[in-house]
Amino acid sequence: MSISVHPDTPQAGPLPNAATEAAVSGAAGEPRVRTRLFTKYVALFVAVVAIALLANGLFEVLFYYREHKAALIRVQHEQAEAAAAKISQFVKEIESQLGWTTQLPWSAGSIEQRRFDALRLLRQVPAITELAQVDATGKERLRVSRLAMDTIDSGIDLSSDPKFTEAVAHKVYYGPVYFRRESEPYMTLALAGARKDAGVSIAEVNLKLIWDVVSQIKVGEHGHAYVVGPEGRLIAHPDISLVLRNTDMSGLAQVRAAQASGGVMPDALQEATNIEGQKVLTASAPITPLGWTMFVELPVEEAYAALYASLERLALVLLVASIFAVLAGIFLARRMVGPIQALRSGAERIGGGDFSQRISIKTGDELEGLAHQFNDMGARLQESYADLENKVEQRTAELRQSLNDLRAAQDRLIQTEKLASLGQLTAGIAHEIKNPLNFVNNFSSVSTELIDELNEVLQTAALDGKTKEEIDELTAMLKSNLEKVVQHGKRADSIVRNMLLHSREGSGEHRPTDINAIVEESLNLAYHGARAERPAFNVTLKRDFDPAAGLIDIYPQEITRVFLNLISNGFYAATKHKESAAAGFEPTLSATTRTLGSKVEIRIRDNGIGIPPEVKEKMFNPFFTTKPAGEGTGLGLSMSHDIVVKQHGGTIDVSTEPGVFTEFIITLPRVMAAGDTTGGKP
Amino acid sequence: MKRRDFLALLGGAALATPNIASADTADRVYRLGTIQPVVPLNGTDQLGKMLVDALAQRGYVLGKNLVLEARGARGDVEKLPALIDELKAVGAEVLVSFGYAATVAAKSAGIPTVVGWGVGDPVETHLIESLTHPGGNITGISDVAAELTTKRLQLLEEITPRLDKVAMLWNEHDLGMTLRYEASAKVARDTGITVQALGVRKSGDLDQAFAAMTADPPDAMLMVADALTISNSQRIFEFASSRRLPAIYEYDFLVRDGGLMSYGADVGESLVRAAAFVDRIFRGAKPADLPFERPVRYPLAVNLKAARKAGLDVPPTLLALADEVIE
Repeated sequence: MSISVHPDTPQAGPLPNAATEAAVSGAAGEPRVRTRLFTKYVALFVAVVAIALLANGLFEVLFYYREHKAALIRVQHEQAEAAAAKISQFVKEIESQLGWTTQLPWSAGSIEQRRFDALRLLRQVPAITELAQVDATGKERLRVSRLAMDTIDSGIDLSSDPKFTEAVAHKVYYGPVYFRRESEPYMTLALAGARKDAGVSIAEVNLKLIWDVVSQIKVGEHGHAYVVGPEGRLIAHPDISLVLRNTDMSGLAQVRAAQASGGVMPDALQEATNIEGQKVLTASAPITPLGWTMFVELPVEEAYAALYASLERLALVLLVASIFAVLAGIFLARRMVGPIQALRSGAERIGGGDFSQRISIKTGDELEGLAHQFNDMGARLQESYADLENKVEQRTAELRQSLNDLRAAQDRLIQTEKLASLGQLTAGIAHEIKNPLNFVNNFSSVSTELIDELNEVLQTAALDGKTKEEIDELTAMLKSNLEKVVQHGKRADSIVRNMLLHSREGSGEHRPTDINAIVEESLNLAYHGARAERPAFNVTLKRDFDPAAGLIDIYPQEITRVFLNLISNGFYAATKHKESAAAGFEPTLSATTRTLGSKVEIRIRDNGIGIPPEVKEKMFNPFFTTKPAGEGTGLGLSMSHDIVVKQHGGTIDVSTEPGVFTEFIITLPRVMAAGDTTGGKP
Repeated sequence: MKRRDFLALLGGAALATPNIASADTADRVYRLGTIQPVVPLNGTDQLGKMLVDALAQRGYVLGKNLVLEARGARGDVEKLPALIDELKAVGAEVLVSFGYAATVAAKSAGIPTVVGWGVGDPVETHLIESLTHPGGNITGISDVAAELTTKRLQLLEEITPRLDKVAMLWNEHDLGMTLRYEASAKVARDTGITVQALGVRKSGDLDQAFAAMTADPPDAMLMVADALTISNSQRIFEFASSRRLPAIYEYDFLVRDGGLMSYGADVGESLVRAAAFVDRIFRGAKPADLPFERPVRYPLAVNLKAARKAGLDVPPTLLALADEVIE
């Protein structure tokens, strides 16, 4: 597969740029969380609950509204019909009362009796203000009134009056409603007797008395009933003022509609404005046989009060439910999102390297399981990581160890090489010096003896006293000189011998030796040696021997020499320190042995003057000494080093602090390596 | 939102369900004034009690939310304007007036006034513009007293064998009463009855009237009730009784006080209607918009005791027609 890129193709010029820019800008930031899960959850929950509630509420309201309205209309219709029946009843009652006056024919009974009956009727029926009785021919025979004087046989001809003709034709006649003094509604009610000769009774009925009826019709709390005449004039209303004001109701839509359809309003027009400008729910019913219309009306607010109350309740329920939904949403989302957040932050921290992070979720569901899995994963990661780290540490330690070993070996090698070459040189020099020195020593001894022989010879020679004296003096001087030569010659000899020791093969046999015993012996030897040399010498000795140090395979004589060397140096340093230190100073030297398993460690420590760093560098060099001339050969430490390192394969180290202490640390292997037995060859 | 605040809100919303209480009559104290040309109508007397009861039925309870300021001129109509000023001063919101003189005084005072009875034809006396639209501060009951004259004359005819001459006693000083007299006299003359006019101006004039009736005895007597005549009613009753003079009065309470008979508007009904007017005016209606009402019932009251005292026979037909018979 090969991918070819053509950056220079012209058509691809601008486009990739834009694309790149877009890509760059798109990739510039980390993908951000646009909407928080919490908000989403809450919004979703609330939306679901609110939609359900709202839908339910709306349906309920809708159906309730319809049913309520239908019920209201039904009730109103019934009320209107009942009210209409009451008005009919009212008129019928008047009619039946009036019926009594048309029982008898005019031929029977006196007119006075009729008048009395008529007056009694007036007394019994308050609504009748005036009563006229007409005989069969249409002549008015009697007229009684509450307000006017009674008239008998006025002779007024009513034979062509509709009051008479209509009543004769239909037995009963309901005249039109008229208003006396343009105020009080009246109606003429004419009734024909069952018998033809009974004539007609014509009553003027005060319709104001219907007020008693309509004002007793209860329509709700604030509703009422009223009666409208055929021309739209108000006949009865609980507010009598409206009637007395002779109100024309035909301007109202509901009155027009009802009268157009014979008293019953079409269903379409249920809500209307009443005469007082109030919105009302209204129904009507015809009042038979008068041709009037009964209306009942109920203020819309009252009619719908129950509806509004239920709406209010519903709104309240909706509100409470919404609040509950929000709370529940918050609760659920918190339950859901909380653990997710915890998981997210936990994962983030684990991702950031904090493997000890544990996620604590106690929801008892899948999320808790997920958290457990996360925790397990974290634990695994932590384990692996710790393991890896341990291994790295181990390896590093090992490497460091080898490096140190290597470095020590290298140092030792360099030192050994250096010392070896120095040792060889020294041995060579010593060898060369030994012969002339032997000559010097031998010939000076011989010369001393020769001087003795010379003195004997001169004893026999006759010499004056003075000369003899001078000769004696001279020979004594020579002898003394020669003795000095011998003495120093011997010293030189001893140096040379020491020098030669460097090149000597291991002296004696190596064998398993108790190291503690060797140290003890060396201490004693050195101490008594020092006392012998200087009786004032005193130092505190401390011993700390590890019983487990046991036997180690060494050249006992050689090692004893090393210890003697080191201990004498220690005594020297401690004593030296005492000279300059305060009165309470107590020179101390301690010797410690310790087993290191395959090795044994011996420490010789003094609280002497210490070793300055520049001296520490060179102190294992042959002939290096800080002691005054004649006191040290400068070979002690050099030799000790050779013995420990080359001969035994051990190590010798020094730790010191000038003015405080010096400690030599010697480690010796328990078993000498095979190659090391021949170490220290000059 | 804090949880606590939220709960408080929730609780508040639940409690805040509207409690719509309609402004009732119990909310404040109403001041009603009554102005009578005679004794004050204050609730302790028969008529006053009727008014107070009618008001109580409409929710105005005396001593609770109703204060009744009753004033009576005790027959001295000159005092009426001063009494109305007094009522105005004590803060009467509505007046119930009786009689023409009191109503005229109330009209000029401008206080909403409900007429109980006794103003004759208010349109003719220019108290109001029309029955349907009174147009001023006066409304109430128009008791068509004049119209009833013929009826009263007829009732007198029932009790007396012949009625050729009727004496009419009225307060000449009172325009309303004069009009009423004139209307009655006209009706009487129309029916062929001679009218003996006995206009009086003060109590002292009564003796003159009595003297006139003694000199020229009428067949019957009709008294036009007003402050002057009512306050002298006992003297009139006495006179009529002593002369065996059949007399008819306008109001049933006069019969209960000792008059022979009466025919006129039902006082009880008038007071109930007056209470209805007062109620509507208290509720903010304007008298100008409240049409005058006419009484429905016209009770006939007969005092048999007075008849017996006067030695007059009351025919059974009349008794049968009577709404109230006092024995």
